[in-house]
Amino acid sequence: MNTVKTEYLLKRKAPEIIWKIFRFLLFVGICYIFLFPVLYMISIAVRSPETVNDPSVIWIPRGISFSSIKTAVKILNYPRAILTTVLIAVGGTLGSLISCSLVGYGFARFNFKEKNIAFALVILTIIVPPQTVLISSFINYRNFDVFGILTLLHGIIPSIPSNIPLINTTWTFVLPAVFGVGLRSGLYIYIFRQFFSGMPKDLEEAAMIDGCNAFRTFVQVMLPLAKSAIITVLLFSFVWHWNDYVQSSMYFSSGQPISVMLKQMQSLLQDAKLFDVVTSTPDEIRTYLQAGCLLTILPPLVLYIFTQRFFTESIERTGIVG
Amino acid sequence: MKKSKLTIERRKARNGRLFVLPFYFGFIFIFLRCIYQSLAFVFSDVTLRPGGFDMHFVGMKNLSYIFTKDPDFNKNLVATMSSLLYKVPVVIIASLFFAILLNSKFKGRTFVRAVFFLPVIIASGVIMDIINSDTFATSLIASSEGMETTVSANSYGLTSLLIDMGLGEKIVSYFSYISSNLYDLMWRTGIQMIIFLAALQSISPSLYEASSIEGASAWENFWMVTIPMTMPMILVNVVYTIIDTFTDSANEVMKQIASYFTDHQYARASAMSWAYFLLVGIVLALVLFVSSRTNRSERRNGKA
Repeated sequence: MNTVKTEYLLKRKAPEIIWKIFRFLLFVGICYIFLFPVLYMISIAVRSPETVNDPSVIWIPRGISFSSIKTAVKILNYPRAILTTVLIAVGGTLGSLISCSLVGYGFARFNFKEKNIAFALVILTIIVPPQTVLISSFINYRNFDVFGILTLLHGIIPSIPSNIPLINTTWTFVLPAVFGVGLRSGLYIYIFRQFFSGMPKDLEEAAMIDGCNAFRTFVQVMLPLAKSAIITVLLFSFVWHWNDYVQSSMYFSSGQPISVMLKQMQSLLQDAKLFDVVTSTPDEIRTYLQAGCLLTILPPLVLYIFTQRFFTESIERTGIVG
Repeated sequence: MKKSKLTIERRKARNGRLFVLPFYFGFIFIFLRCIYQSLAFVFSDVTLRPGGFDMHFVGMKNLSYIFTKDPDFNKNLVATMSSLLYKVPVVIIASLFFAILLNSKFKGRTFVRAVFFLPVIIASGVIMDIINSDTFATSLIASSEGMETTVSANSYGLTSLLIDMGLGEKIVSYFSYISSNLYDLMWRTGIQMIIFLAALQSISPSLYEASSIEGASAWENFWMVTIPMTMPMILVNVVYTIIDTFTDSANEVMKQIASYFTDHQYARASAMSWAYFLLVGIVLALVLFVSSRTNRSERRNGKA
């Protein structure tokens, strides 16, 4: 009896325990790598600017002060910048979700002659990095003409403007997103395409037989099943729109989003007479900069913590039985 | 009978085009408008003048310059290509491994998942620049990197030992490359890992149940259920990793293109970027072509 038990422990339990210990150690190590910048931000941001160079302190500050965070909020014009960024991120994300899920479904489930060429064009839109076409995009959005229609209408009715300037508006991000050519939209189209093409066809066929048209089948049958793809695209799109610096620094000259403000923070501090290039070292504004970083990553992090629980609800009951 | 089938197919084609329509609009009226000028630069001579620029058509001059006369372009191109061979398999395997780990049930999963999402938030923004320009933070990182160099020094001794043991020199150098770049690679797996996590979430547990009842071990489950079911997303991740490596502003070719842009040599910079994109496109087309071939033959085998 006893030998059986020890044998069971050795054969079954031991590998499991070793595996658990290994997994635990792995997670601790990786968490340290990834958490390092955030811990650093928190540790520096809660110090007052005068105590930042205290050599006896590495991680845990002697006293907590929120003065740096308060200054960062003021310098970054935080409420205004966050409002712009939220508009860009939410608008861009919703636009991408709608257009990319539709386009991805079209590529996954239907056959038409030019499908492969069209899909190659989708990939082309992600290969070309935004930096290389930045200047012509700027010109395009400065005098934006709705598909050449406005010039035409302007010729007929002069009271209609021949173009709309979109610079300094969030439309520079939302408009391309709605038409599936926004920030990394090609990747989302690809994710949706692969996701839909991996799904069983039975449900759609059932819906078609019941008299559902293609669009209704998509909205009522397929989209609810694509929950994890939707969450993935939502998170990526939100974070990338939130963090975008390359395009937003070009499109915004006032009321900039948070990433542009953060990049300019040093010169903004200089303007506010909190920092002087000549007399002080960059170390002295470290508390402000790190407070700014912390304020920037907080909203997307909170969003992730709220949405990630949807990842755990797998589609266990999709309705296909047998 | 044949006629009605044709109309169904036609209707399906029409529906498909309707679904893809938003992209057609966006591509023609937004994307194409933005890139046509850059494409025109490739075949032109561009000279800046106050308030604008002059350009006139010169044909293939810019393209032939970058391939035959530019001293660094070909070299950089080869370096970037070969780094791809290292990076893609490592990133894919590592991210799949972590995704499977994060998909299992354990205490504190919410916390660990949140931490694994951090690279996506931090590495894609300006935050990384600020942290890297912070001397105190970099000194802290450097102290951990000092640790890393001692480890890699040890692994150097290990390398020669492994070569002495008869392992191929290429294989050994591959693994020592991975171990010395682990820190960098960890930061690059975030996106792929979340894509895999979503793919794993959508595998129906009934498949695992069925195969376990048939007597499959965990190892067999992994090869027979997990891998085939995540295959579409593995492809997405391969394509994404290739694009991410190629268009990373830190790689040699992109640096060169950026330096040409800052020197106001727009024509050469455009020619270089378009030649580069074309090459990336060819690599991707090759990957997609091979994968579609293997998929098709697998399907055929399944039917037989």
